[in-house]
Amino acid sequence: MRKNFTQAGTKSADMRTYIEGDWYHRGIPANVITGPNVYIDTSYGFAAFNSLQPGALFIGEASGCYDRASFIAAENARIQVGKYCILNGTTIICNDHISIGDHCMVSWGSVITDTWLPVMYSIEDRQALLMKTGNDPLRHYPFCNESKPVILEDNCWVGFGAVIMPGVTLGKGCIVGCKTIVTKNVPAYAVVTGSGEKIVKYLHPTDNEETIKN
Amino acid sequence: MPPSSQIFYPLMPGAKVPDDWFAGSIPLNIEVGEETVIDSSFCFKHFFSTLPAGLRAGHHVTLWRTAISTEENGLIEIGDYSYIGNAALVCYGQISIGKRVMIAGGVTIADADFHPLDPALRMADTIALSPVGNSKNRPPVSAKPVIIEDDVWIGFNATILKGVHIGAGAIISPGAVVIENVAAGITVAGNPAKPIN
Repeated sequence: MRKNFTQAGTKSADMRTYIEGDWYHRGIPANVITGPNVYIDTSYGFAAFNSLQPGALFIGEASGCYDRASFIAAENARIQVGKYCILNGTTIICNDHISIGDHCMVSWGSVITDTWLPVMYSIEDRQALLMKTGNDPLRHYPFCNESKPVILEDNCWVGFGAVIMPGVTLGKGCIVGCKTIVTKNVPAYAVVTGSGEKIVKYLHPTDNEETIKN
Repeated sequence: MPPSSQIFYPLMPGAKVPDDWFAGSIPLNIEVGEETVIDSSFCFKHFFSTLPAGLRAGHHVTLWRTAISTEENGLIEIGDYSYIGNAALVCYGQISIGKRVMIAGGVTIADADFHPLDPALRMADTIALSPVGNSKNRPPVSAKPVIIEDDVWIGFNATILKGVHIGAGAIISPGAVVIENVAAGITVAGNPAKPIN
């Protein structure tokens, strides 16, 4: 069993938590709250976690953030991760709100974002956004003002390199194939893949309380 | 400034990046404008350019977790106020990025195939690249400059391949694989990328 965050982390005078043996040295901000037995590989993924909200990120019981799983969060971002989730080298980019249910698996190179809306922006707006970022001494990520919350219901599986776009809800038990760009809601237990995010099949909803107990 | 909030430092030729997690330094052969910043010397892990300037970056550029990778004769140009986050620029000859270009996470931009297509030449390349080989014996590869004009936005996990010219103000949707030119001001998506709307 891996050493969990509570065992391996030490809270420092700056209120950040430093993980024992971490190759990246900046630690994890105080407004990241974890349930029991949560595992975090490295604080590297929290370098751009700039949310000022109390309890901005909650990671539920026995979930793991592996490899360079990253949380890029703006001042007002709130992110919720459920129990027994596997976030393996995924990037979560949050301006407002992203919610991930229990037992979700999200693979390497995938992105979950609530803000990618340049189509709605004029060139002048985009120019202004980048000029503002370039003149910000901390160079916070150039978030668009508008964002649409993203929800992953329980037991979703997101393949590597996939992108879950703003406003999307992934239904319970669904699977998103690798490199699929998801721009619209995915029904529960659907399997979506490829260009145009086609539903290739539906799975049997076997994940009820009875089957988990057995 | 507490270390927790400052993750960017001025990009200076030949310098060490303060508080760097990677034990490297910034190459000498780069030209950089004022107020251009980077997070780590790791970005230059595969920077092999021997040109007098293998990277020419303008002012107020932000480079975060981005691979600035070049072969011997590679030149990467990045215009003022461009923001590149967690991307890979892989350059054999030339990659030119304009002003106020936003490149999101997971993007790859490559101006060459980096290996020959021909099967026999590919075999020869594996030998030349091996620990017992001589990289001077590598067969020629096909490369064509990539040009990205001002005010282009490139979405998460998109790929821009050799010879592509992207016109000013175009938007490359997340996940798009761009293999042909994109006209100014339009939006493309898909693999291969096609105009949408």
